[in-house]
Amino acid sequence: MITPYLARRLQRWEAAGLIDGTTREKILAWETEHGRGWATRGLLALGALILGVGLISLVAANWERIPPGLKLGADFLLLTVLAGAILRARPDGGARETLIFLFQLVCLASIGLIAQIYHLSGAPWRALALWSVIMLPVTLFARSSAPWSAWSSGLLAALGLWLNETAGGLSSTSLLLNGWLLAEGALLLHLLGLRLDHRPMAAAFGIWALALGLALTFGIDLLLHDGRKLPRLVPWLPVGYLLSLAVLALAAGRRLLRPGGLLILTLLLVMVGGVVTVLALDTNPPLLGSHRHGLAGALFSIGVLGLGLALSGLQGWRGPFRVFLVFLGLRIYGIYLEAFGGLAATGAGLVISGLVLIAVVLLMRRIQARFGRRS
Amino acid sequence: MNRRAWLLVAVALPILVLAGWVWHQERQLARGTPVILDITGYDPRDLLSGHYLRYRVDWGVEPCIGQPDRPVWICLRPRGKAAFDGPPPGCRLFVRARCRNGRVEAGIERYYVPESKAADLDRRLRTQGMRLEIAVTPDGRAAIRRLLPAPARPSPP
Repeated sequence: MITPYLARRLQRWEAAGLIDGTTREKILAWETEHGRGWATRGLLALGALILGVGLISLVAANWERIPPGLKLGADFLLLTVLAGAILRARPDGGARETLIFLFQLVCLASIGLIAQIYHLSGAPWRALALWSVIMLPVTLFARSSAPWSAWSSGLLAALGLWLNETAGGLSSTSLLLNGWLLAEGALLLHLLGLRLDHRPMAAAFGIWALALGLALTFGIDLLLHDGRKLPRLVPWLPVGYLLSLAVLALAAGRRLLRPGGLLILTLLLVMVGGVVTVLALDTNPPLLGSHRHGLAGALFSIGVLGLGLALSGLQGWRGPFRVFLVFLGLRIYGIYLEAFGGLAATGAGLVISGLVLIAVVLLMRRIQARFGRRS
Repeated sequence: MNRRAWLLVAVALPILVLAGWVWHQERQLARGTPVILDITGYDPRDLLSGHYLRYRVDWGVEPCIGQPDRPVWICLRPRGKAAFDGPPPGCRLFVRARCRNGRVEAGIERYYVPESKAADLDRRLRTQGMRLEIAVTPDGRAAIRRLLPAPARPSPP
C-alpha cells in the first residue's frame, strides 16, 4: 500500500536527483505488491478487540442458565479452535496476527470465567500476571503491534497493581513507584526489543516508556511543588538504581544509542533517580526549601524534557521528539502562569525558560551538525 | 525443534495451564471437608468476572485485629481458636489464611453471582445475612462450594 507520505518522499528524492524516475516507479510497484496492508490489519485488530471485549462482557454477565461445566467446555473448545487456526495460518499473513490477538483476549476471558465459576478472590494483579506469563510464548511469535501492545499493557498493569498493593494502597508513594520503576522497566524492554531487532516489541514498550516517563516527570514536578516527602520509597531505591544500571548496560552493550546518546540517557536517569532519592530521604536541600518548591519542580521538568528532547533528536526518533517538544512548551508556559505571583518571580521564570529553550535548540543544532543530519 | 513445533507449544501452554487450574479447583472441592460459615457483606463488581458478593466471614474468632500482614491458622473444629505459627493445638480442621489490613483473608471473600440476581442477593446479604458452604482440605486450603440462605429466625411469640 502506498501512503501519501511515501509518495511525497519519493517525489522529493527524485527532484533532488537521489533516485531516477525508473527507480521511483520500481519502488512504487514493489510497495504496491508487498505493502503491509496496515489499514486492513488495523481494522482486523479492532474487530478482534471488539469481539474479545464482547466475550469478556458475556463472561462477566454470569448467565446462571448455562451450567458451569458447559461454560468451561465451550471456553476450552474456543481456545482449542483458535490455537488450531493459529497453527494453520500463514506465518507472514495478517490473519495469524489477528488470531494471536484474539487468542490473548479469550485467554484473559477464560481466567475471568474460571475465577467466576470457582469464586476465587485473588487480587487483580495475580490474574494479569498469570495471563502475562502464559501468553509470553505465543506473543513472541507475533510480528505486529496489536498483540505486543496488549501483552505489554497486561504485564505493566500487573506490575503496577502489585507495586500499588505492596506499597500499601493508592498513594503518592505508590504512584511515584509505578512511574519510576515501570518507566525504567518499559525502557529496558524497549532496548531489549531493539537489541533483538524485534520492532513490535520495541515499539510497544517504547510507547509505554514515553508515557510513563512523562507521567513520572510531571508527578515529581507536582510533589516538589508541594514540598512532599515520601520516606516509604527508601526500600525501593536499590531496585530503581539497579534498573537504571541495567538500562545503561543494555544501551551500551551493543551500541543501541548513537555516541552522546548514552551520556544523555545517563544524565536523565541520574537526574530522575537523584530527585526520587531526595524525595525519599527527606534531605531538604536548599533548592527545595519553602517557597522555592515550585521553581525546583519546574526546573526538574524542563531539565528532563530537555534531555528527552536532545536524546530523541540525536537518535532520530521523530515521534518522541515532537512529544517532548510539545510538553516542554507547555511546561514553560506553565512557569509563566505560576510565576505571575510577583514581578521578580515572573522575570526569573521567563529568563530561565528562555535560556533553557535557546540552550536546547543550540545543543540540537550542534548535535545535528556534528552528525551531518539536517531536519 | 522447528518453529512450528515451538508455536504448538506456545499455543498449548495457556490451554494446559488453564485446564490444570480447573482440575486443581475441582480436586480441592471434591476432597475438602464441607463447613458452613455465617457471612455479612455488600456487592461490588469486577470488570473481568462480573458481579460478586463481598462479605465478612464469621470465623468465631478475630485474630487479625491490630496484627501486621502475616499468616494465620484458624481452627474450625473446634471453633474459636487461632494461631500465627501453625495450626492451634488440638485443632481437627483448620483454615490457613493471612492477616491483611486487620482482616482475615482466606481466598473465599468473593462469591460471583448472575447479573440478574445481584441486586436481590445484595439486599438479602445486607438485611438477613447469609451462609457460605466451603470445602477445606487437610492442609488448610479453603474453596467455596455454594451460598446458602440464613437460617430462618423463630418468629416472636
